[in-house]
This record gives sequence, C-alpha cells and structure tokens, in this order.
Amino acid sequence: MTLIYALAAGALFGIGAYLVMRRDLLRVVLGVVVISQAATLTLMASALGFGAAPIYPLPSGAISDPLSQAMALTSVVIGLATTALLLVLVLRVVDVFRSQGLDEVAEDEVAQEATLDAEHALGHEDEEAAAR
Amino acid sequence: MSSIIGVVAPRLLGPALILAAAIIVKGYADVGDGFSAGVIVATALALRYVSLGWELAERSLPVLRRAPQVATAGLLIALATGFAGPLVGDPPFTHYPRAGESVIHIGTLELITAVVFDLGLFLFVTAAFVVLIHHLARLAQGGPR
Repeated sequence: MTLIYALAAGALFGIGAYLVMRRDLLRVVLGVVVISQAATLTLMASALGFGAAPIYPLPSGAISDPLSQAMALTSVVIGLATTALLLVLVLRVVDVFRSQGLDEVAEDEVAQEATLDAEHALGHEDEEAAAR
Repeated sequence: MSSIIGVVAPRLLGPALILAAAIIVKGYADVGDGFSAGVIVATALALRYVSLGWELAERSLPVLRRAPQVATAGLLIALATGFAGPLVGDPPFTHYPRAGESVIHIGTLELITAVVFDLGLFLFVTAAFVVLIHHLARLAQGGPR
C-alpha cells in the first residue's frame, strides 16, 4: 500500500512538473494544481497506517492517524486559494498582453523595456544638453 | 462546450444538494462535515457557471447573486456556535447537549449545536466558492463589474 501511495504521488508530481515547464500559462496553473494534489497524497500516506475513522467511540482494531488527515485538509484549502490566485494572475496577464504564451509575454516585455530604455536615454540627453 | 456537460450540469444541483445533506447528517457517526458538503455543492454550481455562462446561471438561480451575504451569514453562524462555549465558561467548540446528555430527536435525527456549526461552515464554503467563480467568470467573459 505504501508503495502504491509513493508511486501515485511520484507520478502526480512528475505530471505536474511536466505541465509547469510548458509554455502555456494555463498549463502552468494546472501543473501547480497537480503538484499540490501530490503534496496532499504524500501527507495522507505519511500517516503510514490505515484503519477506521478516528471518531469517538473508537472502534476496535486499527484507526488512522487524524493528524495527517487534518494536514491534508489544510493543504486542500491552501491549494484552492493558490489556484484562485494563479487563475486571476493569468487572467490579468492575458488581459494586459493579449496572450497566454510565455514566449509572447517575454517578447512583449523585452519590447516594452526597449521603449522604456529609449525614452530614458532621450531624457538623459535632454538633461545633458540643458547642463551644457 | 460538449453536449454532455450541457445536459448534465443543470440537472446535477439536486443530487449534489441531497448528497451534501447526507454528508452533513452522517458526519456525527462517520466521516463527513460541512466543508466537504460545501465543496460538493460548489462543484455542481461551478459546472452550471461553466455550461451556462455567469449571466444565465445567475438569472436562473438568483440566490447566487446574494453569495457574499450568504457567506457572511454562514461565517457568523459558525463563529457564534463555535465560540458560544467561552460565554458560559466552557471551552471553545463545546457542543450542547454535551456528550452523555440526552439529545432532542426528530425521527432518527439528533439535534446538537455541532450541526448548526457545520451548516454555517457549509454556507460559508459554498458561497465563498460561488463568489470566487463569479469574479473569475466576469474577468474572463467581460461584463459589468
């Protein structure tokens, strides 16, 4: 059972890492979501015990560890908030750059920086001329 | 949008609400609570938003426009029941009637204040999720803010 959990968490992390390295911003967000699921699965597996739900009155036999399940619940909620934040950021980027591709966003940024540098240089030349 | 989602999404809300009620009720003898019930209902509502678009989804279910107020009410209910204990000298999150005392029954349903706490949490989680989807949908599809 531990091996299955380990393999599943490893596979999820691998899929997530692959998606995060894609050029499409939406896939990057999906990759972060899948990696957070891998983290949740790791937390659940870290209890290393499987049994009944730990609710009083306790049943006879093995019970599962409530601590790791509480941590898993926390990680689910944090994953939800992270996903929402990332989606809003991607929407803003699409709004501003009219593109979802990281390449195009990077090109736009370079072009913007070039125009800003040019304006800056022009301003300096004016200042130097005024000083002379 | 695929035709399967278009057919399933509007009909999924009823079963989701029944499932949520079952999860809240069985939560006092088994695994289940207001958070998971809220997430299930919110998922069904999210599917409605995806298939109908935010304007049609909110016109067909006007209560969705009241989501911020519902979230606030749920949070206040959960806080009030969760922190009623310290007001009468008990620890926080004490439930009444306390363990071992006799409980008011409606059929086989047992009324304890922990259920009210979970209902508040259910309302808060569902409505907060709806607010989130509403704003994301409006950002993505445009329209009045």
